[in-house]
Amino acid sequence: MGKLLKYELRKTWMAKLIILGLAAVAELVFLGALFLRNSSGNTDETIGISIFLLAFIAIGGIMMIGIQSVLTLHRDMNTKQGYMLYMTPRNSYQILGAKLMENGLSIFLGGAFFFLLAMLDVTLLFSRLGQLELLWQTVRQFLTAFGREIPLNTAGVLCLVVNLLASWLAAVSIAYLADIISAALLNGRKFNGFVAFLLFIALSALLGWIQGLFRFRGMDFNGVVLIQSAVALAYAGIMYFVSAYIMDHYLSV
Amino acid sequence: MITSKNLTKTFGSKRAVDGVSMVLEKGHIYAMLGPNGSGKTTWMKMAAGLMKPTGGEILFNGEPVGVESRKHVAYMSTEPYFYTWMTVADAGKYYADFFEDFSMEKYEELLRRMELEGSMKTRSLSSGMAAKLKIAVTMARDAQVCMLDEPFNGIDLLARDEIRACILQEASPEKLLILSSHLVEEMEAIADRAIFIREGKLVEVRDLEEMRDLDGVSMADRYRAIYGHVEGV
Amino acid sequence: MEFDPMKPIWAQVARQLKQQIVSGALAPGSKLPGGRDLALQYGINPNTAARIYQELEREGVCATRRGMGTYITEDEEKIRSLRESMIREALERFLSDLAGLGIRREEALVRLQKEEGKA
Repeated sequence: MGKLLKYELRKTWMAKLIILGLAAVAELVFLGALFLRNSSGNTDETIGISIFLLAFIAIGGIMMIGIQSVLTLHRDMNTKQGYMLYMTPRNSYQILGAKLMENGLSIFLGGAFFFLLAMLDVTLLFSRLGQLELLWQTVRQFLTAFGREIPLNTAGVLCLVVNLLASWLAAVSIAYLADIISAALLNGRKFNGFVAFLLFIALSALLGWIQGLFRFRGMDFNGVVLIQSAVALAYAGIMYFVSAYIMDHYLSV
Repeated sequence: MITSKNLTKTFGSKRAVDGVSMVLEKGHIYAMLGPNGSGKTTWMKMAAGLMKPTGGEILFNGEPVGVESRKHVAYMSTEPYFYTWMTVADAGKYYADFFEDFSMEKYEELLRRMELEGSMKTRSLSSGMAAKLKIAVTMARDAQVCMLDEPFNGIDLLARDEIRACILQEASPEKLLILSSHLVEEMEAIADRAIFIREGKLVEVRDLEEMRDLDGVSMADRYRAIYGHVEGV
Repeated sequence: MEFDPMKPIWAQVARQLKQQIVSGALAPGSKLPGGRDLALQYGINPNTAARIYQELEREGVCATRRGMGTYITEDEEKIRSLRESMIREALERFLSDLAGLGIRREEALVRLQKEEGKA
């Protein structure tokens, strides 16, 4: 499995390096603007843009990692390079397991990286711009006005981030299954792509419905979010087993 | 060693392989013959475990092909299949990582014979060089079964001698080699048995020396006799 | 070596080996390559190569010593008779070719001498 994992990483590392590179550039701009703020005039605009860019790269990057993983799987099933993978003495559970594990690790490590970076940057921002505390309070009031008690502390944000990442991994695993069904069972049929897309939507809706079943009364916000994350991860596990079973029995490359 | 029992593969309404039953024994080099689209490649891909049969069975040492058989069965497809980021050395490393029967020493020796360098990018190899790389990386395995689909395609006359020599070196009483090629003459002396497939169906499996002895015909003659009226050659 | 693919390849290689034995290119008692090496040398299937040695052994032209390999016979008488039969075979083929052209033995002999004179 380690070797499969190594090659899954090798297939996707270029995109990850690009994401890291872009993040590094945006971060440098942010830091530069932050520390040059008083010495060389007003750089608030640059700070704002760099924060926006960092947020965009973080979210876009994590999304790209998932999408790229699905595209790689698609290539491995539908082009000649699939021979490389399926001629190895490894079963479908191992092959798909390596893909999902590589992607899960990338998403969560990427998530952790951007979360820590955001924490660091926010702390720096606070220390440089005291009055930002005011803005922060406004945001909190705004959210409360929306009628939802969202605890905007570190733990709360962390739970939300975990939930986002888990949901994204579940979405990727659903896309795997839809693509595998499309390649193994619907290959050559009419509306193959469309059926796969409908399947993706239906399976995503199913996850939402199941998550609804786990919304217990009287539980605090963080608890609910974490349970939803656990449900998403369990759902990803089920998608994995169904996908690998179909691949094992029906996929021809 | 490889048993094909009523093996069938359909693509939509087309029967690419149609009820092929045969037993292939170790210690022989089989030439698999038939015009393009007669089902040779599809049969090989099923034997390699890359394609799942629609019907029938394909067995390696009595067991259906799968993860276990892939440890012992080497398959070289007609089309290049390396990852685009790979160099020639990466391709060898990949095989070494996954196949216990792969020998890096043998690979390097084959690269020398095929005039390939480890630093060459697989993506930018000429078609002839890519064909040689496929052969080198496949033959560097000490596999019990070695299936080469069109090993002479895109390869010039001189290099073909080299490839024939490699194939003969690989042959042993414990191994089964299957070569498919439309260059029938290239296989005349190195193969000892021929499998004739037409439109997905098995026509016959013949011992070549016996055929020359009894019928006084070459493999190429037999090929013309079987397919001549189909292709008009 | 170019083969006639319509005739058994083992017979063609065996014939060439026998020619080499008769002509002295392969000395009596000398070791022949192993089956695999013979296959590589002639570019033929190893089973065909094995068949060649089987046939040569059957004819008594060579012998396999267990674990040592295959050797050409040291029996000079055997080689002489092989030489005789191959010469006879060649002559018969020559004469039968000419007979096919309607040339009788006597005429053939005259023609042969004439050719010899030219050379």
